[in-house]
Amino acid sequence: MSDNPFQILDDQPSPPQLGEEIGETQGSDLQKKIQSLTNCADIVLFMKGNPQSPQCGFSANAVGILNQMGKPFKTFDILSDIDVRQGLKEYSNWPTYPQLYVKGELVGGNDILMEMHREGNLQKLFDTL
Amino acid sequence: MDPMNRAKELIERQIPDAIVEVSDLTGTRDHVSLLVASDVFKGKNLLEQHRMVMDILKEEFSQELHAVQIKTMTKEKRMNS
Repeated sequence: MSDNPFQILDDQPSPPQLGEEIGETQGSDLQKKIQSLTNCADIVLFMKGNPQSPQCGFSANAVGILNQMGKPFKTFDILSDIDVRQGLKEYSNWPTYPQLYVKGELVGGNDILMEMHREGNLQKLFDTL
Repeated sequence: MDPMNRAKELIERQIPDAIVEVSDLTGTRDHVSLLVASDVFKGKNLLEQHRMVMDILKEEFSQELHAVQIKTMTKEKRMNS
């Protein structure tokens, strides 16, 4: 993983090397898995890394914003599952990470999160939960 | 042509009335800030606006474009800002 803090997007997935976790879930199982992941909490952030050690600048920024909202949220490290990482892009028709979901719906990536936060709309949205 | 200018050109081609401003976030010309002002965004929420731009750049993302920071607005808002 390049150490470039802005690296928010993965390149084309390289062919799985020996020992690299090879995704087993395909097709509808993957859809079901994504469905359950995006609905496993009111607020779910799909990010690179985890809140304690985010692996990219935009993911870290998204966590920072969510931490200010005073609402519990779950995260999923898309670097840990190559199938979810690819599958979620098609599922949501959104090519980059992080991705924020509220009640199973894509709210947006880092830009939208920041703009909504700046305009107070993120708090409004979370207050409805 | 580098990814930055290609992104700008692609958007201008797909959204003819768009005003597109690009800037290089990191000096590597593949982490790009994009401001797109167009009246096609009228009546669309933020996600739909950004998704329009992301769809146009989808191919680029699989090539050399790494990251974009997007700001979208109507032309009117652009004039007053």
